[in-house]
Amino acid sequence: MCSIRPSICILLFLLSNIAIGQNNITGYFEPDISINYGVAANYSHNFKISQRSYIYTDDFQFKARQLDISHFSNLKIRYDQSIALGLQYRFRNVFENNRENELRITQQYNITHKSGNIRFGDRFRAEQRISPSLTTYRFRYRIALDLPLNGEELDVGESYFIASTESLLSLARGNKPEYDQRITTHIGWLLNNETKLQVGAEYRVENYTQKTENIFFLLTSLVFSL
Amino acid sequence: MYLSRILSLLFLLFGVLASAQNKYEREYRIKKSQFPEKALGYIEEKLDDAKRIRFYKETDSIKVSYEAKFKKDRLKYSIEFDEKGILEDIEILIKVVDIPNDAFNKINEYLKKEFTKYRIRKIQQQYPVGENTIEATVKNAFQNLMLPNIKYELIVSGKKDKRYEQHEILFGSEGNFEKTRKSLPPNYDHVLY
Repeated sequence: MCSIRPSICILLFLLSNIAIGQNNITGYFEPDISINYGVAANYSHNFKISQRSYIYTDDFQFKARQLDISHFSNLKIRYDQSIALGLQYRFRNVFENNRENELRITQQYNITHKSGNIRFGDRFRAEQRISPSLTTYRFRYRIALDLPLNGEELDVGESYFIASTESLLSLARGNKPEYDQRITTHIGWLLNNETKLQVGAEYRVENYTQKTENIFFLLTSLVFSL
Repeated sequence: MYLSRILSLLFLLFGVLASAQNKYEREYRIKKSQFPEKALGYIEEKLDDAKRIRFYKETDSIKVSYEAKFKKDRLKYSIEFDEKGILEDIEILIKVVDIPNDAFNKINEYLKKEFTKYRIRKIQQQYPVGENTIEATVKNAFQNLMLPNIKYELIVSGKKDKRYEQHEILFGSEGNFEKTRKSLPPNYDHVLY
């Protein structure tokens, strides 16, 4: 842990400050487990299961909110570019009976480029979020960077850092357009050639053109690459 | 309850990590004080007006090596030493225009034959010690001389047998192919790219 750069600590500190300094705050804890595996040359799948729980609304508490199961099919179209199609089902009704479950379809295009030992990735997504009473169309753009923290290559036993920010626009019949912004940071460890562990924090400003909501996430991920 | 279970899982994973760590090959940054003294001796004076000086150590099952990287007179140098600190080669980051036309045409011919489509990501001009003395190699490299014994090391990403791959390919000073090595894709699927 001592190898974590001071700048990362400062960033995390700032993130937490922003969230605490405002009203209308929700805090979540969201662990996930995902599996990546190749199917054919240039074609791979990703399975993910994640669970979101409230940890702060008006006060600290711990209450399950939803469970997501998702699957992405990814096709490499260049060495540094890919397209993907995703399906996700969100179980929400089981946890909050006045809320609906949701089916989400995602189309994605991604391009990466490297500069020194930092890798940058631009990701464009279009989503259809379908629930029994409403269909929302969402468009998102994310820029992410990631780099190994020990040397120029990521080896087993070493750590890495990821930072990203994403802009989102949601459109639905009868609703005004909603704009969101997210900032995310992660620190991860390559435990062995197939396994990674990540912990991170995310800050979201949702619907900032109308009634701003501040949302704070504590994230953990376990990633298996077969 | 839930949290404590996750915590114990984390500790378990770290335990596995600690015990498994030394079996794999590694490359990591080290301090100047951890760099072999002998190696520093060759390049100490070159480092005086250098910027962004970094030291690395690489280990795998058969070999330990050291690498110093820095920027000097607008050029990026990368100098490799063996376990005892003896110079192995000096590399300078260059661009396509720095390779003589004839040699570059030959390199392109090889790449066209090998890949359906390709892109050159990185080129380094290499000064191996080989038959030269270490002193001569250092002198030649820092004067950026174009000599018959230099080599060009290219990182090329391209499509080969319907797959997208990255290769590290070595050419002689005239553009003749010498050897190729497939580089493993970076272990980076932690962000859904």
